[in-house]
Amino acid sequence: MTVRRRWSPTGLALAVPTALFVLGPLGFLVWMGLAQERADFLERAQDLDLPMVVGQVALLATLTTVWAGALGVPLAWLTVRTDLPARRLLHWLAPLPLAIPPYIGALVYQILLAPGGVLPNFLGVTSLPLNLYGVGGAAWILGLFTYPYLYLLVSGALERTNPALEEAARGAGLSPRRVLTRVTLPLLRPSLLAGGLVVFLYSWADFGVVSLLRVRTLTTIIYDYIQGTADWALPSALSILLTAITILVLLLQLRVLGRAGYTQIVGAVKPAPLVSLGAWRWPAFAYVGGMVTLTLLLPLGVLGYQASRLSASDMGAFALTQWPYLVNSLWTAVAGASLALLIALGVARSEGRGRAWRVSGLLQVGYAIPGTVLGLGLAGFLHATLPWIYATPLALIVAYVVLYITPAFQAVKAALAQLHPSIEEAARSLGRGPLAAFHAVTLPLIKPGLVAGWLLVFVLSMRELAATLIVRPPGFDTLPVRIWTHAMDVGPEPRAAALALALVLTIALPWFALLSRRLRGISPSM
Amino acid sequence: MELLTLDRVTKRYDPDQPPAVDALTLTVEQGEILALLGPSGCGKTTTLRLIAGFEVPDSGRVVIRGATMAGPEGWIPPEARGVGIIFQDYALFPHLTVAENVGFGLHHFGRSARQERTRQILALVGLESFALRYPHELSGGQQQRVALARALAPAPALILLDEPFSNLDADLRAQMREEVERILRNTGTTGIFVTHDQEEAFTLADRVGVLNEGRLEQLDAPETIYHHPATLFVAEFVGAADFLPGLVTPYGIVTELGVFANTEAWKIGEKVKVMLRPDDVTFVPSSVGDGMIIRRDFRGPETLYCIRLPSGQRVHSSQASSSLYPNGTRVRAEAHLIHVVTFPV
Repeated sequence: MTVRRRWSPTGLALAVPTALFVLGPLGFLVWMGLAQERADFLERAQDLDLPMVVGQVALLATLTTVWAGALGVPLAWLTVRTDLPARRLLHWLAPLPLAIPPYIGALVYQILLAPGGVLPNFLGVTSLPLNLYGVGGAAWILGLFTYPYLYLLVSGALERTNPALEEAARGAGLSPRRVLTRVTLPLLRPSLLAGGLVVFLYSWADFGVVSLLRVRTLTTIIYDYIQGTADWALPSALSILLTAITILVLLLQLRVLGRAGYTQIVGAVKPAPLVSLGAWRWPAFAYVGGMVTLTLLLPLGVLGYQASRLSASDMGAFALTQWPYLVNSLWTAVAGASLALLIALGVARSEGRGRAWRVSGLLQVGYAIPGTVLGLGLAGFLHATLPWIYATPLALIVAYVVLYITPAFQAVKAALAQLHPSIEEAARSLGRGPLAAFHAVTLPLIKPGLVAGWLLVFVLSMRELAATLIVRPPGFDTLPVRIWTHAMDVGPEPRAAALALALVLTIALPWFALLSRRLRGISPSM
Repeated sequence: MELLTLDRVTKRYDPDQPPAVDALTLTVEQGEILALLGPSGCGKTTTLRLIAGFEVPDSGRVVIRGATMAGPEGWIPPEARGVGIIFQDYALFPHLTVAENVGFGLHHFGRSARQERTRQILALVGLESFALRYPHELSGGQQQRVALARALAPAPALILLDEPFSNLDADLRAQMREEVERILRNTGTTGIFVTHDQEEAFTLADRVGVLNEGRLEQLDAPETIYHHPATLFVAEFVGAADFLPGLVTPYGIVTELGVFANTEAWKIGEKVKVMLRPDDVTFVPSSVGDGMIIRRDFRGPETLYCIRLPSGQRVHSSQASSSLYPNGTRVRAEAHLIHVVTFPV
């Protein structure tokens, strides 16, 4: 509403501290990084073999993106636009692997393929001729468990494609195959790019998978440094390098997407007619079914099998000792999701419509910061400025809010955008004040969007590993931290599998709820 | 009695742009129905929003029932103005039933009083049996009625309608127009509606205000607007019109289609434009006629002919469709003006 163009005190009270917690950690890192003497840094970079490491991460991210694209894009087209058998069920199953964090995926394939694992034992050999521990293995796993990001965006775009455009191309004399290459695929460009970017940046900034598979990347180097030494300068400098490249890639995306308008303005879109696969129907089904097996059934089965090797009495005692960590995870994730949503709602409302400069843009910077970097920056920033938050569970909640305020904000924004301003104005003209109108009309109408946003942040916080490892107070472990520590210290043994299964099942429930709400168009976060 | 007064109300959205509403002054009487007519972007919707309280005027004063709603003394928010609105998209609350929508503005009533009033208003718009439906289960016309009922329920002094019929099919539009007028008249409610459809403005309103670029060009009864447009803009925007060049002489205004009375006392020797409505122009086919039919638009009951005069000037003539003449027919055109309306060249 035009009346409320100015920032409300509530909006400012929410936005300013959040902006502080986004910018503070980055500022701290820049400050610490600059303290590093240049000559000294170059020498140590030499020792670390930094160009090789950066090249290796870039290779990993590229391989993962290509692999995820090869998995996700055909799947999206098959389930949305063809007469694939059971396409509705598969369309619903395809995003589910997101409930399995990639580091758990790494654990699964360790259990399965590592020397002494399930498959070598089954085959009666000590080790398999393929090596999981390396860039190839990491890319395999990251691709398997991040392809749903691409799938969600591309299938959403395919569903929204106006079939009249394709019919117009047919009318202009193009064959179906040419229509696919000349119209359908080019129209998917923004979603392909956006999805590819999410996967690229995820693997670029990943910590969990690469640390478990012993791949040396910037994140693992930073983490090892923090653990081993009290030296902040070098990890800060590396963090800035990591973030700078991330931001560069994001800016590149803006440039690529800059000019062409891809919004297809249409009234009611009728669904496009399905492409008949003919003889390819069942091979395609086998391919899709194989993917679902590889990314969903196999991991759950392997985790269940491995966990079941723990004897019942051991399991009881183990559950008792690990119970507090689940509680830690739950309440910090609930607090983080609630806080993120409240802030997002406050900021979105205050910004109103059609303002040029937006605080939300600033808040979204948190989305671009890799978890390891944010963990380091936040720990240092809190230590320096707010010691009473540092090393308390509150710091974890702050980290979740900073990392995931963007998906929360997008959910709120999307919900509010569905609402025509005249709805609230109608309530005002019928004698309700601004707050009463919001409560009586706006809130009930955006509630589904708010619930979806909350669930998304909750799931993402529940599975967060990299920042949590650094920011958590000593002794305050979360479930991901326990899983990771077990897997790192002891290996992929039954206890780690049991914990991983517990985490996956805890995440899966809200994730089911989220998907059945047909949450589309909210780009998933890292 | 004056119900609403706008006194030199100005609203500017962008300092670099001309104002959306520019020193607008008008008064609306109790029980009157006023139409604000103008092309898109003329400021009519902004005017409505200024009255409702969704926009704050930069200067000027909005007075409803003698109380200043916006002005130098302060500003009253929309919820305290007692002004009902019907939005172009109806803005029905999708999560509430028809009865809950209608009862929405009655929150200060007791439960039974609210139910009684809701029932009464739904009866007025003929939707008693739809009380428990949700808005999306209704047709466009029914939704419109719910919007009307919801706005009427708190018995507002004034109802504002923003392009109320633009989302309806043509035949439904005429029917709803009649119905809305009947209900406003029966309840004695003052109404202001904005439209770009002159037919709608003419049939529904007691007075029509024509807006152009934020300024009120003319505010008059529909027939005055049509027959005596105050400005060239009004003449062109309201109804079709041709403008015939003329020269003022002692005998009257001499034009290609004859001499007309100099009713506006132009000075001798001045050049003017005489407004011709299509129904002012008649013609007879004649082999020696100097006009020629160059275009024919068949419109059912009437047919619109475009006639080229020897000078190249074109005039339009609307004729009953009982006899039709093909293109190229030579004709003798005549103009019979009851009201001579002229503008400076």
